[in-house]
Order: sequence, then structure tokens, then C-alpha cells
Amino acid sequence: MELRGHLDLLLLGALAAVGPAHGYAVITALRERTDDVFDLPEGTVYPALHRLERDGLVVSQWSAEAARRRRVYRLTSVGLAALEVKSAQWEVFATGVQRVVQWAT
Amino acid sequence: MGYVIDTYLEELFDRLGGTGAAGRRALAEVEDHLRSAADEAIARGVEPIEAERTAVDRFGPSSKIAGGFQAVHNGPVALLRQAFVGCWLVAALAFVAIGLSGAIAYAFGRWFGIAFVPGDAIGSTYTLDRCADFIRFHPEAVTCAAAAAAHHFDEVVVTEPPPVCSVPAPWWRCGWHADTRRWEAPGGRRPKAP
Repeated sequence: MELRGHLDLLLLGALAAVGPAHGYAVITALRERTDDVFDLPEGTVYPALHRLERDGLVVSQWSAEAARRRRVYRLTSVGLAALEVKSAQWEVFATGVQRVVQWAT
Repeated sequence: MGYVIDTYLEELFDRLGGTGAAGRRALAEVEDHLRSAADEAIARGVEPIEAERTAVDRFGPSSKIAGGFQAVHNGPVALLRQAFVGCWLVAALAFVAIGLSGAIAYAFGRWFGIAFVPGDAIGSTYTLDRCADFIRFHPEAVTCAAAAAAHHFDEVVVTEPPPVCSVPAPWWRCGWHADTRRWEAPGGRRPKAP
């Protein structure tokens, strides 16, 4: 399924749900939660995380808990507010689409 | 472990030029992701090479991923640096072209005589004043035409190397430093300066 335009919402939502996590964990959580509905190139998640960090929606730091150094991302208060706004926008969008689909069938 | 992830990381590294520390961080994150994915697959019984190949395929083409990082991290300063490096390269090529044309002209002058090199048409005539100028530059010449040919040869083949060489050398060095900033690698690996 095409994710263009909704990746930020998914990443912010995943971080809100699972808490601080590194990129691989975020992708795994998204895949498991959606039963592989979103077939996104996993690599696109990292530039998106960097962009969210540049915009102040997440912060990150290295964690040495695993065998390899990992960059752990955490939602900021600004990110949480953005998640609420984007979620509301998505609700409006999804409701509109759903009404048209129900109308057509 | 195999070579698939390493090859992918090298490709990505090449494409992350200009992103500096953010690019190094991105590279480390990508490596962690790919090796984690491959390790998980190997733990499920997948052959190591196949596990790496699948991890890389799922990650996406390095050009697309690097483009994403470039879009995030290449601000105005990086763009200015790239523009500077581009201008430097054009100027460096111009210096090389000038040097090569001089070398070729010099070789032709040695092989076929200096009269072969200058551009005046056969039978050209010169005013007395102009002739005097040529003779002043080349008093050893026995005719005005020979002095003119020697003078034109001097103009084509630069006969005073120190000033000419002194411009391209710092120019090259300056551009090299600007350009190699793009190639700083994890662990400080960097191409050798000329």
C-alpha cells in the first residue's frame, strides 16, 4: 500500500505506542502491527526519522545496550502535538473516503 | 558474513557526500539495521548470503535512501560548497587545457620549427614599429618574420613556468580541501591529498 504523505504519521504513532525505539524496532513494530500491509522500502524510514528530528518532533541519542550502537528515537512534546493534529486530519480523510466507498458499494 | 551488506554500505557512503556528520550517523544506523535484519534471518535458518541479500532488498536502493538523507541534511551551506567545488573543477580543467595546449604547441615547435606554431598567415607583413617590437623581444632573429614567429611562439607556449604554475597549485589544493570534506568517512578515512 502506498505510504506517501502518511509515513510521518505512522512513525510518530509507532513511537508514541512503543516508546523510545531505534529505527529497526520502529519498522518491525509497524510491520507486525499492520500485518505487513505497508510494503515500504525500510530504508525510507531513516531519512524520515532524521527529518522529524530536524523539525523537533523527535529527539535521538546513541544507545550501547545492544551489541551494536543504536540510535534511539523519542517523541518530543512538539511531536506529540503534531501526532494529534495529523491523527485528526487522518480521521477526517479516512472518514471521507469511507463514506464514498460505502456509497459506491 | 558475506559481502552484500558491505557493498551496499560502500555505495551508500559514496552517495552521502556533503552530509558530513549526519551522513556518518546515517551510515551507522543503516549498518545496524541491515546487520540486525540479516542476523534475525540467519537465526531463522536462512543462508547468510541470502539473509544479507534480502535485508538489502527490503531496505531499498542506495540512491533513493541517500537522496532522502541528502534532502534532509543538505542545507544552503552544503549547496554553496558544492557550487564552489563545481566552479573550482571547471577552472582546474581550464588550467589543464591551457597547459596541454602549451605543451602541444611546444612539441610542434620542437618537431616542425617555431614558424609552424604561430597563427599569422604566410605572407603577412608588419609595420616598422611592430617589427622593431619583435626584434626587441628577439634580437637574435635575423629577419622580421623570424622575430615575429619567435614572439608568437612565446605567446602560445608560456616560457615562464613559475608564475603560471603558482596559480593552479594553490587553486588545486584549495578545491581539494573543499571537495574532500564530502568524503570524510567513519574513522577519519579520507583520500590522500595530492
